[in-house]
Amino acid sequence: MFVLSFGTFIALWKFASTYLVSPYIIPPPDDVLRTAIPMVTTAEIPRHILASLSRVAVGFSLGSGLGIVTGILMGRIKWVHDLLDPVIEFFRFLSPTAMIPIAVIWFGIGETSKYFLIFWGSFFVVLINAIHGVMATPPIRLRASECLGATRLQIFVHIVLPSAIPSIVTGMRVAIALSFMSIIPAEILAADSGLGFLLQQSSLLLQTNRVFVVLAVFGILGGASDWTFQQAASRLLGRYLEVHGRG
Amino acid sequence: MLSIRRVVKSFDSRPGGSVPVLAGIDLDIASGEFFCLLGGSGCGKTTLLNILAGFEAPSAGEISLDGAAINGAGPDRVVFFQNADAALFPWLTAEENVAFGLRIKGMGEAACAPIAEQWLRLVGLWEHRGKFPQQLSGGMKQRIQIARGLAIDPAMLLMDEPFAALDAITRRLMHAELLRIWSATSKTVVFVTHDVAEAVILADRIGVMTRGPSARIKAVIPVELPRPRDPGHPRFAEAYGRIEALLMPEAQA
Repeated sequence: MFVLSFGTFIALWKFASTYLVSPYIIPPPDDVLRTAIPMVTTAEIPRHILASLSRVAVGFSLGSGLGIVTGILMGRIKWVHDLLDPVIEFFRFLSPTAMIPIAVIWFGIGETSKYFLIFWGSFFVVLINAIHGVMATPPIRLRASECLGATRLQIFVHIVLPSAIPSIVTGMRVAIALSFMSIIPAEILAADSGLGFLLQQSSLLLQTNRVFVVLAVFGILGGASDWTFQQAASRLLGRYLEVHGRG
Repeated sequence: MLSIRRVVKSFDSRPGGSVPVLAGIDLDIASGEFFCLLGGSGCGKTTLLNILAGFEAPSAGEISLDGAAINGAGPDRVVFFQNADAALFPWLTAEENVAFGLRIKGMGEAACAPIAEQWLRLVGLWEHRGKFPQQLSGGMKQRIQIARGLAIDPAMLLMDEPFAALDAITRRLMHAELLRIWSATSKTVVFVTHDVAEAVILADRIGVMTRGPSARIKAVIPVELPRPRDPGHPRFAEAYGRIEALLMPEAQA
């Protein structure tokens, strides 16, 4: 099915680029492949991949880490929730793209501004999911552990945290996608490396072939990251994820 | 002995108002007794059980267990919930669920193992010890919940319609199993149900509740039939009829 899906897509692409539109608009797939090979072998693409991926990795880790910790505190402690919630409800609607201008003023066009923007893009979604995960622990599960003798700390560690894991992992998956969506505009507007920079440079030079190569690489990279994350999650946290007690 | 004195419970509702759920419950339940709380939907029987468990505090009145006031939930009174699916910990295997109460007491894995095995065997699920709850049927989950509660050896079992969601045959088997465990361990059981037949099969005494709100205990009826009780026996039918006659006006009023 996978082969059929992509096969049909590439056939349609080939047809359109040969008979319907100019190769400057849609270059044929074999042209794109011919362009791609030297870009990969000369390490041009790998250098930019590395730049983008390391930015995503740092920003995503910071955003998820802080999102999980803050979310658990907000989900568990009412005054922390009431204190932070209004501010968060304000800031979470500012997209990473909206934050690019201020990030450039604060951090310049170096790595820090990219870390900040990816952090911004992943923090809120992980936070919201962590809060929800903690709060959605079934009350019966809490009561059951309580009458089996669990202390408040034991309830938190052995019941509340495990119950929140599926929701947190979902939040992190969304955050990975958001990180990939945020890195491109950030690099287009303010960077001298990375896939977004390469995309912008190729577009300015009307090298549609190269634009296509970068887009394809980026799509593969995003899919591969999500796959890797899911594999790791089910390897490490499988017993918390495959199960959904209702109540 | 569990002593319930003038227990009142009301819940806050819309501005200024409050809904009286329980309007003065007085009951004494002896140690080792099997006591059924019987009443229709919404009569407050689960609320009373939650108060006995310590999940909720009464608005007024006192509850004491062997002279000591009940103050919050504790492992001396284990609750068995109707919804075993929600009550079990889905990331733990059947065996780990059963051992949970022992592990959090600080007992090592090696010390827990024989106790968990004993209870898993008693409920007939030793072969399924490695399975997760979602791999088990509804009746099996309920038996795991029962094994988990019994493993910590509580003095009192508080059972909130634990068999209501099971099919009739499984329920009959569970009744027999519960009675066997109860007679072997001499624990006190407070069993909430809306099912007259279930109450007559199980109980030493049945506390029939009025309908809510402002529920009271209408009557406490002893069931003096030898166990195991046969629902087809004329004396069973006579007891059933007497209790149903008490309950019927509550449903119709």
